[in-house]
Amino acid sequence: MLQPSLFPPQSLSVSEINRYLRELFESDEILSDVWVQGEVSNLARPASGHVYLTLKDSLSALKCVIWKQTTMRLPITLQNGMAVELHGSVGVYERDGQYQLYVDAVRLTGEGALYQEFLRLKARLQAEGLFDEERKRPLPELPKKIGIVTSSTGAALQDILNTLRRRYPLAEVVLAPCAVQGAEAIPQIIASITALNAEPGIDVLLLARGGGSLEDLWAFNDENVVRAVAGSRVPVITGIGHETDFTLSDFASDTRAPTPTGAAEIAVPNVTDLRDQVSGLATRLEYTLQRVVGLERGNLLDLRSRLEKLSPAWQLRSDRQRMDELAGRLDSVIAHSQQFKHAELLNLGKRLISLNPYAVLQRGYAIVTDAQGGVVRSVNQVRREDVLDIRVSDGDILSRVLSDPCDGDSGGTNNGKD
Amino acid sequence: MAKTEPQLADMTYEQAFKELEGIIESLETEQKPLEESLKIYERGQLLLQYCTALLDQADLRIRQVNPAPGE
Repeated sequence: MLQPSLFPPQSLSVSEINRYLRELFESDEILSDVWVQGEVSNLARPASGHVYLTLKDSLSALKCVIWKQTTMRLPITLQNGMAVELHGSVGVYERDGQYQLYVDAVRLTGEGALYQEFLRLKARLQAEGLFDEERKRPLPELPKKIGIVTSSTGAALQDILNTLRRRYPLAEVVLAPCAVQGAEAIPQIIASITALNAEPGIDVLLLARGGGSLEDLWAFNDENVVRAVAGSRVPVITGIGHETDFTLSDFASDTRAPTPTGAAEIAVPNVTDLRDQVSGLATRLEYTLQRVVGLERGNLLDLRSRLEKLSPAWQLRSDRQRMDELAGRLDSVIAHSQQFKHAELLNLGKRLISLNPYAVLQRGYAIVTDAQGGVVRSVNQVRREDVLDIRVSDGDILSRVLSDPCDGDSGGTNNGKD
Repeated sequence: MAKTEPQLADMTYEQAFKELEGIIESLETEQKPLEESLKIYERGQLLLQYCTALLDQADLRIRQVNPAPGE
């Protein structure tokens, strides 16, 4: 510029320089992805739904915009004076020539560091085996004494007591009150767990706290608290914060419930279930009695019939029956034998026919009988002048012996035949 | 058994319920003289009424212990 040029340098329009700056900002890596921490001020929420604010520290200020869609998914509601960390990109609003932070995420200051610490401690305790599944103990089915570690003034306690009253009023509750946030929370929680472990007869321990920010729940991430939970002689159910909150105490406990109410529900059965159980037992009891009585009745009936069988009347009836039986058998035997005899007779008849001596006469033989009707078999049976009857097939020939038959001669037969 | 059984009033719900269950199981599985069975059954009826009454009348008892401070 010492030597003025012939022509003055060309000037840029305002919009040109602003567009140039916008492009410059947008091409910068740091500016496009950055966390900025400071205090919220000049918070404005116009009808458009977008949120405008100025983030400041003791020396400086930065304009910020949160678009409507982003505001709806922020985890916290911003307020003036709040110490926060805002994430987004720094860009230029060309119309006003202003650069500003376009916010896409918000967290409370310190949360990022806390979270890192949380992850480190979690990894360390996990490596130590404090969260192992095998360490988890079963819960008692019907706890008689339930220990509660929570604030005596919090909503969590009321939620738990209401749930226990509704579901299982048989239990005795022993409350060991303690602060659940702030500096005193850590030693008090540990002291309460210790006190309830020293109390005789406690069956299960509820460690509870209502919802809150990560910082509010921080005591339950403290290493000593986590160790007290893991070291508890009595099984521990945790119900800390809301559904989405997981503390290290939750990992170390025997069972984790999403809320204090959930912890109470897990700890005890429902009284209506118990009523069902009892009425089930009532039915069984009645049934067993009926069975026992029925069994005895059966035995009695059995004895009665045995006794009846021993009475004289039974004997008589029995004899009578026996007699009827015998008579029947007799009849059948007789009938049988008659049949048999009939057949035998027929058979004999046939044999008789086949043996009919007269049948032989057809073949030329004759039967000789003497005057007395005796069959003549030998010459010695006849003498001269004896009258003999000779029977042939078709009639009798009366004849007289002409001479004395000779002894030892077989002619006698011939004579007879002649 | 009749001599040693505890007074109902001294029993917790859990104890009464357990005994009732035991009684029913023994009636279901063991053969006993009728008189003994009836006695056991009557005991079961008492336990049953006692359990029901406990469920009906129960009111959560709440007690507080004060942990040693500063521990």
